Amino acid sequence: MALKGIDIIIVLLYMGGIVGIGVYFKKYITSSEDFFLAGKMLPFWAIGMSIVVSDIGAVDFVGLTGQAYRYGVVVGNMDWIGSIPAMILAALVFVPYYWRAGVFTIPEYLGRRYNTGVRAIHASMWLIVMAFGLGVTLWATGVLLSELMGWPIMISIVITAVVVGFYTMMGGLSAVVMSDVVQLIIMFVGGIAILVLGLWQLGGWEAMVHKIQGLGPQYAHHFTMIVSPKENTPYPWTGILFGLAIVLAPAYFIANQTIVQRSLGARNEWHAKASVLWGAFLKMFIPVLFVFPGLIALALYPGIADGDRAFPIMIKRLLPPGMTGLLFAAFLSGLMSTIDSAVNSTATIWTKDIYQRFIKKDATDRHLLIMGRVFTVVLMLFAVATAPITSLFPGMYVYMQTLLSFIQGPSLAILILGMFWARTTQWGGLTGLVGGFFISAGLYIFKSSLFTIEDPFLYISWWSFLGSLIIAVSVSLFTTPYPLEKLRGLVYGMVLKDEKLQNVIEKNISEE
Amino acid sequence: MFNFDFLANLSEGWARFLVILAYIIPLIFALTLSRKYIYEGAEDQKLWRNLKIWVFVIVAVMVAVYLYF
Repeated sequence: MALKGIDIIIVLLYMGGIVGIGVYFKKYITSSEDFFLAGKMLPFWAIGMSIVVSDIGAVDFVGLTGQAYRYGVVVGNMDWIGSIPAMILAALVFVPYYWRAGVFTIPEYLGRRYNTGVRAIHASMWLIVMAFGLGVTLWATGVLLSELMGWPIMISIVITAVVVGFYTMMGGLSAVVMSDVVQLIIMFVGGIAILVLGLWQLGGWEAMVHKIQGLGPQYAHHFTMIVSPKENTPYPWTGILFGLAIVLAPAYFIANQTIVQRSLGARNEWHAKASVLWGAFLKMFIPVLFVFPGLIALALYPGIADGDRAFPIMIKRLLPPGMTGLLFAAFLSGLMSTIDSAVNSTATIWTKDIYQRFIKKDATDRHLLIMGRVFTVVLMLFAVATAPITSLFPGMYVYMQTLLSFIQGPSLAILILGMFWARTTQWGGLTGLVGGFFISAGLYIFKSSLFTIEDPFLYISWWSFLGSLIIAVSVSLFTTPYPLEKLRGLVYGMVLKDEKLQNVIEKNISEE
Repeated sequence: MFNFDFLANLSEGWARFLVILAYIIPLIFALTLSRKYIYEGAEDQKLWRNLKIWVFVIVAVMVAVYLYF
């Protein structure tokens, strides 16, 4: 299937506009703070939109819709209970905490709170996970473009990488956030279009429900958010609550550099808090736009062997000329927003936590700015090279979650302990992080004998979080803590309750 | 134990209650925060900038969704 003339015009306009944003914001980039934190000038509405669109990517267009096709509305938990409560806590507790502490990255905080080893390990883990995650996202693009256009997968990947790499390298976080605003609008318009057209073709919501329920008893749970762990589902409510809501979601919205970095670029503390809450509000609509189309696809086209093909098939069969171009642009939006955010935050971690800290300590600010741009290009090349590995794993979304669950639980554990328990020692933090990672890896390797469900990433994240917590507390009780003076500005009560002291701490950090 | 087998027999109603509780707890926390903290850094103190109201609206919608599905 080829795009018609109007479709091509829409796509070209979109691509040109996004590249233009990168070129436009280049003139505002004169320092590393401008590049990595947008000069701390961003408004809440733009950050909130950017947070949401960064979280929703090509993986969700294809993977989330595909999972909804297989398992039903329960997949909506990923964006509802798996986001909203954590985002509220992030907005009201953690984001203002980071904002006042004046840090660039999460590893930077961990390095100050624990030691250089924790900072280096955490930064390295994130670099690896994010770099391979980019490969996953790029591969999803290639698959859809192949399905939709018949283009060779690798050529699609290279073109996308060049466009995203260009505007991210030019405009830094400002370009990333403002292009995300445009991309969210396009995604919402595209998502609503396919939702409305699909429901219209089915005769409405009730007709869709009846049609799916009539497909057989195996679809009995397709319209319930709470599924018993006795059922053969990767989304049992126990895993959703303990693994997703309590561990993975807070880890994502509190300890994930990609998400937190935007709020650190807010123009003041209120905008930083409001940005995450505005993002939570928008996040409520994501399952409507991506999960419900999976159900529509099931009702319209039952019997598709691979659920991940549901979305491309809907575009092919459901949309008229013109709308296909819009959906195509929406898909590219999802893809690009995820990639630009990951690239920008990973470049920040590399430049601030690895390069400046371990390789060139006396680097000038201009040198760091150039390094951030160079690394952006290197990262894109790496992502293009690793993208084909993704094809070895069935279910791209699950693959991404599995990768993240290896590191998210341990990261959250030592972050929370470091923030709220002054007794946590540097060795407690270090062993908790490393030990938690090995627990994750061990649980994954032996998953078939330990777990009853096929993809237990929710349970793995919970147990690795708990294991990491226990290790960090145990080791801390047997090792010597830092004196309280050294922890000022790093432990919760010592950050948020004394403004004058906090100002001194921020001054010291900036001088450092 | 790794699969939370001990909770497998909990009724769907109780499971739903626990999930909804995960929304209610952050709401209660938000409502207890001081006005000064909520408006910290805000350009003015208009009602729409009160972040407690934002949290209330979000949680209300979510609870309704989980009661429906």
